[in-house]
Amino acid sequence: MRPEDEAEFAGLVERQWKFAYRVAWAVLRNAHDAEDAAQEAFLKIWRARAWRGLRDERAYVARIVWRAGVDRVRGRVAPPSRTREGYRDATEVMEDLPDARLGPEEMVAAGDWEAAVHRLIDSLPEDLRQVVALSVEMNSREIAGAIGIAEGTVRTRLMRARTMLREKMAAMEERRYARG
Amino acid sequence: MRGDDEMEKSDRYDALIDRALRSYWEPREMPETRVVLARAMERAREADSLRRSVWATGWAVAATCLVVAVVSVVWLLQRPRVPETAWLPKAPAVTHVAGSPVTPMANIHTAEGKNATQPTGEPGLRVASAAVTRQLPKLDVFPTPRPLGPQEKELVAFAMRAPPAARKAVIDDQQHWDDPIIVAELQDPSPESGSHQDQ
Repeated sequence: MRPEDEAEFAGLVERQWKFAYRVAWAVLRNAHDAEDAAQEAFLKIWRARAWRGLRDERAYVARIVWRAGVDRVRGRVAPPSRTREGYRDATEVMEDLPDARLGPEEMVAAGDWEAAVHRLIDSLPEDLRQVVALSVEMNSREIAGAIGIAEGTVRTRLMRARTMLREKMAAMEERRYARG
Repeated sequence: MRGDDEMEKSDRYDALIDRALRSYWEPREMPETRVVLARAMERAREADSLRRSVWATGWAVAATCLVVAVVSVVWLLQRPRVPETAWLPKAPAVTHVAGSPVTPMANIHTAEGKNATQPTGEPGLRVASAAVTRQLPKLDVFPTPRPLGPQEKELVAFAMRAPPAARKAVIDDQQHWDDPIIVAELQDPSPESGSHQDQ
């Protein structure tokens, strides 16, 4: 490998790392997994020597990262039940505890709309959630290219997701006012 | 008025959604590019060495197969050859007891038959269970000898009982069976000579 190749690849990583990480996080919703998936995607690009002469660098990276993320989701194995084996450390205990975070309505009551919307996004069906999460970084055409679906389907999913979010937010607000 | 309120509410929700989406991810410090590159190169090197070892194993297996094939061919070509013998059926051997009227060809036909291992009932013929191990002699008699027919048997019986003169006549007749047949000229008197006689 020539030094100029390494420099080019380093430039690509520098430009697209954050984007790749966010795309991976949209699929995996876990920082460690997202980082690994992004790294794996860059490794694939490195192996394929495909970073030169790309027409749309972002779209290419998004597609590779998306595939890496989806492969990780498919390869995930459900953790074994620890009830009989006992816990190894406090982290495992915390993982098995019911979610202690506030619900969206409590968050709205506390005035934290942002966190409440995060919870509402999490509660969306997976196909809608992923499209919404990616819509921050990419437009409909880029999302369609990365996921491998029609652009019209992306737009429909975005519209449905936003409608669902607005309805839930309105319902939460009404309940909040009803309680006084 | 109500529609304006709805629109305003919807816009407010959209703004909240957009703001929430911008922070909808776990911020993570970007690892230093050199680290990413080094990791990528390291993993690529591992993958390359794995691929190389797989190829090397494949080549080794292929070379071994080739050597085995070559050795097998050479061995097949150089192995001592067994002299070729005529094909013989794996049938029980037939022994011919002296005095049997059955001819050798009849023996062979009997041995090839389905019931060769069973006694045939003919006198003097015995079927052994051992396989034929030697080639039967080829007979240079033509036509192939065969058992006597009923007429021939009667002729033999007649020759045994007949007086010596008659027997000799039969023997002579048998010895000259292929002499050309001479048909004597017909001595037919012509009608003219007959009429002359009449006159």
